[in-house]
Amino acid sequence: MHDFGYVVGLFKQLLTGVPITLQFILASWIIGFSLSAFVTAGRLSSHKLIQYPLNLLVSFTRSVPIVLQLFLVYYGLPVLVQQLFGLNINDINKMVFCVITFSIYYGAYLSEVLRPAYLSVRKEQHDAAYGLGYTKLQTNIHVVIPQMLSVALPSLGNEVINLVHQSSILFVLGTVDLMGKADMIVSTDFTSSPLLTYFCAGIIYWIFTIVIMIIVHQVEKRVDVYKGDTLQDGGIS
Amino acid sequence: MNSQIVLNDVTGILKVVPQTLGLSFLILLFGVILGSIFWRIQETNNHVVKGVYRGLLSYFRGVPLLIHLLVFYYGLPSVVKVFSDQFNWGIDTTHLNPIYAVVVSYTLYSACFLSEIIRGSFKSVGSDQLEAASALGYTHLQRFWAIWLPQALSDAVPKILNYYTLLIRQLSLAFLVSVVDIFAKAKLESAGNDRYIEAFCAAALVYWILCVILTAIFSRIEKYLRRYEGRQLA
Repeated sequence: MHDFGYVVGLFKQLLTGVPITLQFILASWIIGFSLSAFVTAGRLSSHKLIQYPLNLLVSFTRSVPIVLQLFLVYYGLPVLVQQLFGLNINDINKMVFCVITFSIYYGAYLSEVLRPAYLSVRKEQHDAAYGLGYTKLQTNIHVVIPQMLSVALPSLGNEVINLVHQSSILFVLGTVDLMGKADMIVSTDFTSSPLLTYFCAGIIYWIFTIVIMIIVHQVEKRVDVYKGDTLQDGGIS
Repeated sequence: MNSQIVLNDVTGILKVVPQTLGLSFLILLFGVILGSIFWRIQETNNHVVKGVYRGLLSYFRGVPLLIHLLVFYYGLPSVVKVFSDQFNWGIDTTHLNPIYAVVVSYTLYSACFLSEIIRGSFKSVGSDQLEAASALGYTHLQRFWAIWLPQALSDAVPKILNYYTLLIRQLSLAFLVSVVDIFAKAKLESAGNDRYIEAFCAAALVYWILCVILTAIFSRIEKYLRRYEGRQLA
């Protein structure tokens, strides 16, 4: 049996992986979310040539497990780049491949959240804005997007938590994030208990989740100020 | 890329599709049963029970599935050993099939999400429906079977089926504890000839086609279940 001091030491060791996990989450979220804005705009556009490939991409990312996508990018991208540009990118940091995978995944996936949210803002809102002389861009920025945010936020918050949880799969490539550290402890230190190590890593993920939930809740309160009348009569279903 | 190898891998992977679907279905079934129990627990007025339930729910939803899987993989044999020694079941705990760890961890994890789906569906049935049933002289049991459950199911079934496709994808983590599903099979296929990309492409193809087919079937079921929707609210 391990004593209390051992558990504290274990936590200290695991916490050294946290910065990398946080950096990864931040990078993937920022790139993925920005990408999803374009993907959503593309899917809402009336050009079939833009719509179909994007729908195909979304269908693919939604159907294939993230771990498989990770392996596809990790093994496939270097070969692809080698053949197309003749560049050797095998020595690039593994984290880059992870960020690329998750950015593409969330870029496509989040459009499934943003698109319904955009469509939930009623037609009258657009018409009223046009009537007041707003351009299309102005309508979107000042009228539609503030209203869709309060619809999209709860799901977006869930997706952030999802991202944190899914980031635990990175260790299969041998990264040194939180889960990677846990795996390293288990595989190098034979006196360690795998059960205890993974459980402690789980506790850290749990704390992450709770903190994010609190933040999302606060942001939700702030954004609900812009809540349009779409919500009051239950017209969003 | 060699298309011949991809084709070979696809045929190899197709052999494990039935067991992947079956295992996911088993987990879904257990998850729905446990989720319904969780839903009933949540409705009780006992604060201690409620508190424990909330804590458990927060734990299972706050920790990644991957960690649940590994914790149960390493923890389950010792738990089984305690019971086995107690009651003389004589279970060989050192060679416990990892599939049990997968089923137990996935069931508990998905039950937490499914209980929310079930709760939401029962809540979505308007209280006017239940009042009308009472006014017509239905007993509690009749009201549940004839009014409440059918309407809740028509809302819950599409969501539960949707969760099924999610489960199939989540089962890809099972390769970590050497349970063979579609993704694990792809890894095994590539281990023989070192053709990783072909094997992963084959697996992605299988997943994609599988999901498209299942989604198409499920949306038909959803349409069928929601056929009274318009009338119901009028």
